[in-house]
Amino acid sequence: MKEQALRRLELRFRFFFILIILVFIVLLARLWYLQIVQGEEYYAASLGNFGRQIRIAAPRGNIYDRNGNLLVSNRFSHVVSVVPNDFLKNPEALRFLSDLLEIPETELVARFEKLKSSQREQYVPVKHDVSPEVIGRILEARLDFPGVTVEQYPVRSYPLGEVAAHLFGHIGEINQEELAQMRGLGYRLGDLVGKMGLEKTYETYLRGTDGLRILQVDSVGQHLQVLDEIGFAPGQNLHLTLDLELQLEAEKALSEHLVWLRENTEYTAASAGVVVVMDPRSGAILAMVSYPRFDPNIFVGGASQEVLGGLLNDPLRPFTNRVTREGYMPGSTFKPVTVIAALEEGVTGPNQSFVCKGMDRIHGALFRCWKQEGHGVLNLVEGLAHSCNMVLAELAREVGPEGIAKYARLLGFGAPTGLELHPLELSGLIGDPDYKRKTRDPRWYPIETVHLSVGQGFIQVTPIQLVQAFAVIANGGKHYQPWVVQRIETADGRVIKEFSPQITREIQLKPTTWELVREGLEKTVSTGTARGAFWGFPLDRIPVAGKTGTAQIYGKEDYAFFASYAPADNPELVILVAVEEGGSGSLGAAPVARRLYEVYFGLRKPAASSRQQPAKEAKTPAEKTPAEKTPAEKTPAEKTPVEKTPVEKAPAPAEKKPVVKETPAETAPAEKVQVERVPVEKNPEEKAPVEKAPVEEAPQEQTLVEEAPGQETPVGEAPLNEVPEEGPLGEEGVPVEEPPDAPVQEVTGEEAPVDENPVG
Amino acid sequence: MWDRRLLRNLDYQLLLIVALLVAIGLLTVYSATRSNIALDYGDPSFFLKKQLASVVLGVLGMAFVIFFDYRLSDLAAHLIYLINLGLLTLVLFFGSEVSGAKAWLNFGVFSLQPAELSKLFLILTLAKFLSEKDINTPKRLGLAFLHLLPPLALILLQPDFGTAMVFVFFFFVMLFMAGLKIRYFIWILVVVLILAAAMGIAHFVFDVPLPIKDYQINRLLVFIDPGRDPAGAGWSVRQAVIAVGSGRFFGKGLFQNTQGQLGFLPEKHTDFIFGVFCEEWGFFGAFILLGLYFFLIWRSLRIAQQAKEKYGALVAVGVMAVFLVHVLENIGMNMQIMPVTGIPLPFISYGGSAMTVNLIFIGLLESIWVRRQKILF
Repeated sequence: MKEQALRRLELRFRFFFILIILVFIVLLARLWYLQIVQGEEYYAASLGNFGRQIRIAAPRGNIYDRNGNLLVSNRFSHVVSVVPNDFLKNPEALRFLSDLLEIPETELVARFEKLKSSQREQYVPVKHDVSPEVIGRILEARLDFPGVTVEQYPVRSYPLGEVAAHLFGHIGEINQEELAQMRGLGYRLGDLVGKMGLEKTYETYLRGTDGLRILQVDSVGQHLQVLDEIGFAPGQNLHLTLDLELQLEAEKALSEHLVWLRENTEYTAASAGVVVVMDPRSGAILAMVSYPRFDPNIFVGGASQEVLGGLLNDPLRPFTNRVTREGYMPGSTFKPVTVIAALEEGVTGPNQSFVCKGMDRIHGALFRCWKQEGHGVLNLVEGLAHSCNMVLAELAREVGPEGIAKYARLLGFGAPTGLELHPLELSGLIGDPDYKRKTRDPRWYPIETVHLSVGQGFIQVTPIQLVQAFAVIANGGKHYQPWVVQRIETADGRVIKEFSPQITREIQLKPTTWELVREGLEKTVSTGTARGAFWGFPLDRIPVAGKTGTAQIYGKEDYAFFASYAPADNPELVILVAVEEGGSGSLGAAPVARRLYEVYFGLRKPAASSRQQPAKEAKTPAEKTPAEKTPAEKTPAEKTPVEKTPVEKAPAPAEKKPVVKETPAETAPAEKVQVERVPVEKNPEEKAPVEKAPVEEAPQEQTLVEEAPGQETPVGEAPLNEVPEEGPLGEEGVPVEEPPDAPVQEVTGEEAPVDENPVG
Repeated sequence: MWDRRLLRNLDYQLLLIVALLVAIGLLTVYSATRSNIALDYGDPSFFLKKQLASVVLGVLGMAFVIFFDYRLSDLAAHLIYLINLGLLTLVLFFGSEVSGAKAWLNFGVFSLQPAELSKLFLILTLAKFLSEKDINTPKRLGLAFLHLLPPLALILLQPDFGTAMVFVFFFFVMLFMAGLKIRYFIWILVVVLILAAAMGIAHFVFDVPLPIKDYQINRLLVFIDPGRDPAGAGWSVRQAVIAVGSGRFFGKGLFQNTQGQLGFLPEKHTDFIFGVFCEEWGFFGAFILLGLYFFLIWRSLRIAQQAKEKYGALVAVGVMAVFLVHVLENIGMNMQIMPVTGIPLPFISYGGSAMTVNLIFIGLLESIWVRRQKILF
């Protein structure tokens, strides 16, 4: 039995040996047939098969604002591609190509010889953005010189030019590092990828999938047929929370205000700033401006080295998104934090009264209030409203630096806010004694506590943090993660991803704390330091709350800040304006915010609704493409600014049409100022007081303004021994009335209301 | 465990064959990828390096199974079976999907294809099971099928029909070599035919969907009628045949695989790498390659024949069956005598898991070989 089984097994082994031999005979026979019998045929097929692949670039996804206005899209351009081998072998064809494309022959040859041998059989792009005449001539010549083709391909286009450039970002050729990072995602050298802003942050959505076309060509390179074609899939579209109307107004308001400051005040260096508008009910960003700006179109189709170099070497760093990447000393806009700390820690209350004599000695260091003659007796709310340094010094003494730092962190300072935007935001810095011990010096001086309390010294906040902190104050403690993309859709409108407000944390403060701080902020605008900037603004209907700030930077003019929200009783909008070297907060920053509130609440025609069509756009040959037309066409029709300001908007459509065509709107802001201001100035209720007030008081006030900075320097020196670099104390800038409309002399007149204040 | 005689008794011919195959494989992978697809990763030898790493890993695995015994305790067998099922289940939930199949477990630096490991595990546990008692009872036969079914089902869920086919093939080969009587095979055949008929009726009469996907039906149809769908499913086969044929006798030479480099041949470093090799080395090279495979499989069967006991013999037979079916199917589909399924050419195709497991297979064969005579120990 056992033996039988063994024999059977032996048989089975033999069966397998035979099977293996058979399998290999079959394989070998087939191999012989294919390679020897039919080899020549297949060899010929493989040569004729010198098919050529052409990549079909997918258009990147569009970007829309909250109302569906097209912000970023694509236009079509033409690229000439050639098969290098066809031209290397044929000098006549090479000469022709060189003449036509205006590229020297030697350069063409050098470029071709850099390619790998297999690539020389493929279409290689040689010139982008080719004009229609050249295309025509190439198409004619194609019969004589095969191996050249013209392809249409989509190019990124930013029809708004510099508007929101830092938010959108730009694209550029992928580099080795990015190639390694994104390996496996199908990127190749030469691909364009998002380099900053939304373009980078949402690269994977915006990118789309390239298609591929394999053309069969004969031995002389004529296309015989398309062997295979894989269609492209366009990138997905981003729908932002951004409001184009507000964004345009913010851009315009800031740039015009900067011009005005430079031309009409002593702040001739004012040329950089920030505007952020956020909805405190959701954290949605409605507008975001960083100035100076750049035009992302310059990166499309090969940036000119001169232009790029000029921008890169610009000391004002136009590529920096100041909203997230600049740490500012917040100056007095930080004071609410100190007040919150004091109230929460129970060291003060609404009824405590303070005395401001204009200066004080704090442990040997002289500390001054911005108001030289002193504020006299005031309570907490008035202290905040008038931004009295003495009140803050008193509170700081009680709370201590750790207390201030604790509440600063509670309000979100010193940590990223979570905005999804590249490059990633800075964390900022809250310089408490612990920080100083670790980094500089173990000693902590009482004067430093005072400096911290007024937002000077070892403190850096990003504008987005400041906006978020004010949003937290406005909405009663909710930290919404700032967000700017609300929806991602495929090209055919299917929603891929939907974002909603995210509360990252909620802070609980005493109800009285909220009330007092908000009261102080509201009074800042109605009777305090920002009163002048909001002179004539219908605060009874639309109460605005805010805080001015003037940060002193050693060796520079003061930085102006204005952080605010409105309506104060039910906030819909938080606006932060920061102007570098713009002087006091009320002069340098608040007027920009005021203008935005006026537009938002329908008190003013959105001057910026004139869509700036960048000059670049008009010049491009591929003008007629549908993608390009959309922004211009869509805007007048779809946009309904009327809904916000029904009364004043009557002439809107008629007015808009001509403006759309006007190309260089951006370039000449100086002249524009005049033109655009007209409707405002004509507003009778505003004008009357403005004109009257300054006339009498002009001379007196003028001196005050001029003195302020000069006076500051000596004071700064006294306690400065320990505090390097930064000026020692915050001084509230001299409040000023709505500046843009009035000439310089009038500006100062606005101090009047403050002086009249019974506080003194 | 360590014994000098172990080294002396190794089958060096087998090792030499494998070394040659691996060398050819590395060269061909480099040749197929260096000019374009590897460049997408910014490094022409990107695939070569990854493949080299899995060769190193595989050699370590091979050494491990040579020096430690190939025999399993009951506990170890159960454990291996459970690990096998575990990995195959994991990949269904956490696997990353590549061209329609969830086959890879991603661990950052490397990714693992549990289906490849599964071949190794299943051969070991199945051999253990079949060597325990006589298979020729309906109960044992039923249990053998129950042993196969769970891993097979999990593989089909990925879905990976190529590997499933490999499973079925070596399962029957092992049953055959375990001494299952022919009449049982006839029974199995009858049952399979009835099941297929039932499925066909269910599909055409009651519209029950067939458990295979459209593209697979398409591949089969293209195999039967090559003119069908020349731009789609027929495309790659046609290009592979052109690649193989265009090599003629001496081939176009190293790095001259225009079919692959110009993008005509898809999957040129994995499924269709034989086409690349033939284009470069012609009949001359392919003859040598086939010779190496023939010797590999022949030696595997010899080792099975010489094994000390039934378990070793069955393991070796399983390994032999895996090699045989891979070589036949992969080379066959490159030459259009087999339908297209995505199974790799052993030691040549790019793929780390397969390379490592194949080297471990060689380790098993060597382990069985050196222990063929009791005298050794």
